[in-house]
Amino acid sequence: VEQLTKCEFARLYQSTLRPLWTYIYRATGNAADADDIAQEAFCRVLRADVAGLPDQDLRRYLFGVASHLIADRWRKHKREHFWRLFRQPENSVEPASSNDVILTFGALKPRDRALLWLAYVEQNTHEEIAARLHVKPGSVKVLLARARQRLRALLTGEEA
Amino acid sequence: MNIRDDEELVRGFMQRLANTATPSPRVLPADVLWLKAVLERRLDVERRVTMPLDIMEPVQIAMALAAVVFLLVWARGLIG
Repeated sequence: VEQLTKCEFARLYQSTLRPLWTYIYRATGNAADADDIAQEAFCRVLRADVAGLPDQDLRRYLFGVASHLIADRWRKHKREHFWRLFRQPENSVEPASSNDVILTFGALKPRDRALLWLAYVEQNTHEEIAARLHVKPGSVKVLLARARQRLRALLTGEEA
Repeated sequence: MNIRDDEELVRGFMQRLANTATPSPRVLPADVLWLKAVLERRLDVERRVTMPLDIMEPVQIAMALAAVVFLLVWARGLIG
């Protein structure tokens, strides 16, 4: 079994915790969910046979696992009619000036949030986004265009 | 608004969003997660070892009960 050594894992944890957590937090809008999902993603990486993979591939794998867990949580919340939890992101520790940005982003659907974050903040390619969100590579361009359109509509007040 | 303006609007917005402060993660430290994973791996191995026993136990009970019923019916036939 080829699992990460303690040292390799510590390095991965150190370099990816913050970006991974921020991605999950922005996609779910909930800090407690982000904590749970990030933790579970790290645990799954520790159980997987990923030793020897380059850092970039490990990071990709970790974000893929996290995206999968986010999608699972959306489905669960949808089933339980708790989708409102994802609508209003927490903003208690964030300055008032950033509230508009956060609320606008929070008004998007969770998948749109994940798509936009991966494309514009994580600078992922369409192939990487497809792998992380488990969608067809050909659909990413269309999904991203629609997400952009919805965000623009929210920003300008025009119809999407 | 053309596609390029759209792209710039979204890019600018995402940049602002990326720059906004977020709460601090409350995730277990790396060494604790490592320990957790070691324990989970051990539990997995244990589960794999005891699984055949767990499966066979109810089968053995069912077979024993069937044998008892068979013996009772057989004994009743001998007496009757």
